[in-house]
Amino acid sequence: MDGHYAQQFKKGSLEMILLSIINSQATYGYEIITILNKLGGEILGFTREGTVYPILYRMEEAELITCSIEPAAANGRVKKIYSITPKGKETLRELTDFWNNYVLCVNSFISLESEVR
Amino acid sequence: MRIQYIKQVKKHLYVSDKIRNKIIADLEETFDSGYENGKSEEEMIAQLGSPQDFADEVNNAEGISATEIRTRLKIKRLIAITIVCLAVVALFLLLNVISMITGQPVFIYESDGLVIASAPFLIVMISVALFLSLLMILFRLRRNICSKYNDDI
Repeated sequence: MDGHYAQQFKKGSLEMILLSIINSQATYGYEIITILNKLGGEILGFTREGTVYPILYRMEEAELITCSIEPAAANGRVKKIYSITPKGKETLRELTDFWNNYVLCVNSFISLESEVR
Repeated sequence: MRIQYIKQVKKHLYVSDKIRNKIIADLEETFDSGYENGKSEEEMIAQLGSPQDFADEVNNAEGISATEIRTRLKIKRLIAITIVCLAVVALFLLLNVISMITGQPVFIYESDGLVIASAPFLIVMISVALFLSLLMILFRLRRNICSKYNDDI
């Protein structure tokens, strides 16, 4: 398949995917990207930090997620831990509902061909 | 290697200062997390992509297109050239003014064909050099303080 199509699908769903990961557990940047690529790498393609960070900032700005600072194990630095807010949970629920309806809707178009036959 | 990588990313980022600072802090954190998970700086850089690619991804995500980046680069270059031209003109005028006030020429022509700079000329040149050095030091200090502040938050 042309990579352009996969890119478009990914673009539309990445925010929901990231919100789902953070909803499953409070987590930090590196872990988010590791989970994302482990579960979705094969279909979505490898996602890099440069794509994910700006989306996290936007979601934080929109108060869908919140970030707390914890000391990192490696050295004296800090680690940002992201967790979902009630508003984020509500948005994720809306997005999931929409996604499910979207899949049904698209599938109904796909099945048109077999119905016509 | 890591410091060099982050420096290169900074160079290619065309986002707001706020986003830039966040990206740099997160990049530092990513390198630390990679280290915690047994990844070397080389492996992390391979994962992040080239500094240009990394910055391009961020620029794209922030809605800054390649055309806009090219335009900004052109403007930057134009401003730099204008500043240099203005500085040359200003220096020339300043030397003439000093030459008029002190009554001494800018250059002294020796009988053996040597051209040496007169005292006012040297004073002006040294002052300009000192002023520029001071500006650069201040600029560096400010950047260091800013990045230190970002590390802290």
